Amino acid sequence: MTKKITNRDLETLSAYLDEQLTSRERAQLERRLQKDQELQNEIEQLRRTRQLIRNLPKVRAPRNFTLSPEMAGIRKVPRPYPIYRLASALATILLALVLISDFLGGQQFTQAPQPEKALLGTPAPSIAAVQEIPPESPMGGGAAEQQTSESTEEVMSLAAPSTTETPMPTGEAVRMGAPGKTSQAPAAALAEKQASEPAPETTGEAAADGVIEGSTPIPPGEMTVEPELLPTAISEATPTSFTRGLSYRILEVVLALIALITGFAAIITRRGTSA
Amino acid sequence: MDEAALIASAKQGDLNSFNRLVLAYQDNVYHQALRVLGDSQAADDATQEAFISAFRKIRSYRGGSFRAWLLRIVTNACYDELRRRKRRPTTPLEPLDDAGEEIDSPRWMEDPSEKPEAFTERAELNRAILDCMDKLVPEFRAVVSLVDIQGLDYAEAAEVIEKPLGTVKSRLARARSRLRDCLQGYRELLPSAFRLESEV
Repeated sequence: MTKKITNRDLETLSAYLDEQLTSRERAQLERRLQKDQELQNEIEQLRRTRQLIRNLPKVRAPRNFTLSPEMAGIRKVPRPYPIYRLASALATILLALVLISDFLGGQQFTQAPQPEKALLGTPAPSIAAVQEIPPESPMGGGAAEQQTSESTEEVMSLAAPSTTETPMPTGEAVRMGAPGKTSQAPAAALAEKQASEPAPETTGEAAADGVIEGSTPIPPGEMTVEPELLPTAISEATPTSFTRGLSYRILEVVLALIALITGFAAIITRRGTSA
Repeated sequence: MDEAALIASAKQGDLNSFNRLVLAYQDNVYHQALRVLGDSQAADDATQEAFISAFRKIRSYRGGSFRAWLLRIVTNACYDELRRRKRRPTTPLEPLDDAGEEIDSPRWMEDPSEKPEAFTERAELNRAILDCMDKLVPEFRAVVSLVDIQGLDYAEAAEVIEKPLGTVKSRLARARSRLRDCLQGYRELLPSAFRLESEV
């Protein structure tokens, strides 16, 4: 007659094999085992089963499971090399565009005063030359400013000689503020001219010879029209060209610096990355 | 550097230290995954997933057996995989040879010093044991693997499966009993010393 092995018995036998019983439990089981053959068979089968499982070959990992930074979720700091490279390229392209624009703009501007020159060639310039002298004129700032623009220089070079030929009465010239303190050459020449020769006589001779067309004395009423024309054209052109040129220089320098710095940074970071 | 120092360093985010721990325990972790899942590809994935997960939550490790902590993570990863399989059943892949035939005795089971006949017999026996293990429910497989293959004691196994010690004791006894019953069907493969039939 065989007794049924309960789940409780199985647990006790299994734990006995693993030496997980208390000393009291172990002693109790060993007493039972001495008397119970079925229990002995059961524990022997469990022991062999356990041994078979434990004899299974050890399995080694087929590969290394080490983690890369990406797998570990560690964000790599973005490599600066591509950023520097892009910045350098963009700065270079922009620099090239600015240089082209500057060159083309400069050419346009040097051609721009031509109509003014033509205008100065007309009889009116004789008055215009005088009119540009007054201190309130933008060109009255001195020789240094006169050199900042080619157009200004051209205007002045044309205007200055005309003063010598201008048959303007002294009273008129003084009234128009010709001997301004800041415009040295034209003012001095005009003053000298006015002092040495009586204006009405010169005017009369020139008018008789017909050397200069329209050099006849112009009534004050007419003078009020032409002075408004020429000084306005000059005063608009000159400061704009100066500001424009300065802006271009600054922009070009800044872009060139950015291109150079980022270019060097790209080279350095690329070396660092490849090393 | 000892294990405690490596763990402390890994907690600070040092991946190199953690990878040294990976190298030390990857065999245990992979073997556990293989025994619970039953196929090498899934075991590979579960092992990798377990180590990634371990690195991410290593700060939650509060001492004790680091191996048990890792085995808990991989065992849970295996359970997750088994749940996924339940939702989307697939045919498990067996190792194939060049002709596309299933390999009964994969290379990792080979012992160069063994005679071919002995190797074949042993390979068949191992296959029988593994087949029987595969027939167990995953919870039983995990406990058998933890105690009989990984060599953990009951307390450590309880820590891994996050169950009381009595649960380990019960599951292990029932798993061994079922394995014994299953292996009766392979008695011709068993060496005489391991015959499981009653000696009465």
